Amino acid sequence: MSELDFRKQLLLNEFKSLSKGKKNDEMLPLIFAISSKAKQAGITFGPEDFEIILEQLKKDMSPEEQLLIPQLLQLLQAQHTKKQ
Amino acid sequence: MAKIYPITEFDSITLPAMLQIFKAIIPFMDYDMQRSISTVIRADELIHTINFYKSPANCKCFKSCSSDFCISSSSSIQEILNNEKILNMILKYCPEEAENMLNQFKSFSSMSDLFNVFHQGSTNANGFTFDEKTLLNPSQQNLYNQYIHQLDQIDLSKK
Repeated sequence: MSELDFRKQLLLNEFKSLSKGKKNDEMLPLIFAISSKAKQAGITFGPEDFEIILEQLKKDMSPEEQLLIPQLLQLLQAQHTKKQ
Repeated sequence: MAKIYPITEFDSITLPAMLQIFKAIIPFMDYDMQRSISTVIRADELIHTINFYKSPANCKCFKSCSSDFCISSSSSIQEILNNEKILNMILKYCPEEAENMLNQFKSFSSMSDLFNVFHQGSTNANGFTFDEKTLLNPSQQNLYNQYIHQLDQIDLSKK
């Protein structure tokens, strides 16, 4: 595992542990805080990292909302490909 | 109460107002009259539509048309529904079930925008000027500060 991957993993693990039992409106500040820390440390996130974040968000969603997650991921991936 | 659907801009521009009046009267006619008049009205609608599209310039008279996005045969459903102007217009004509589904899509689309902001922020550290905290209410800002404090405990510096 590269140093960047290791530091990213540290942040994602922290996200997983801090997001436990949190409601979606409490998740937004957490996402921003993680984003801010990542920016400071020069860490970048890709669509595969968002899957981890979305998995955490899914826990507080209705089954109908959860069904829309794959579409949302597709959208994110399409946006990511367009930018490259 | 049943939802009353407004007339589309397409109908109001391509067809004479008299046709709408005739259509409103149809349910009050007897069967034979309904059958013959409705066929004449549909045929008349077709003729008006063909005449309208004889000139490409006529397309420009649609007020609701979005100049920044034009649907073409290659546009995906997601692209179309991501356009807020189009989505808001479609919602006026949707039955309740479809309206709920589209509203859900709309909220997920906003969430997707948020993630894109997040994504840009984390990939473009130097050129990023957006202040995420302006999107948070006071209690969320408080939480944000607490999270930042907790995250400061992690050593993310390059070794």
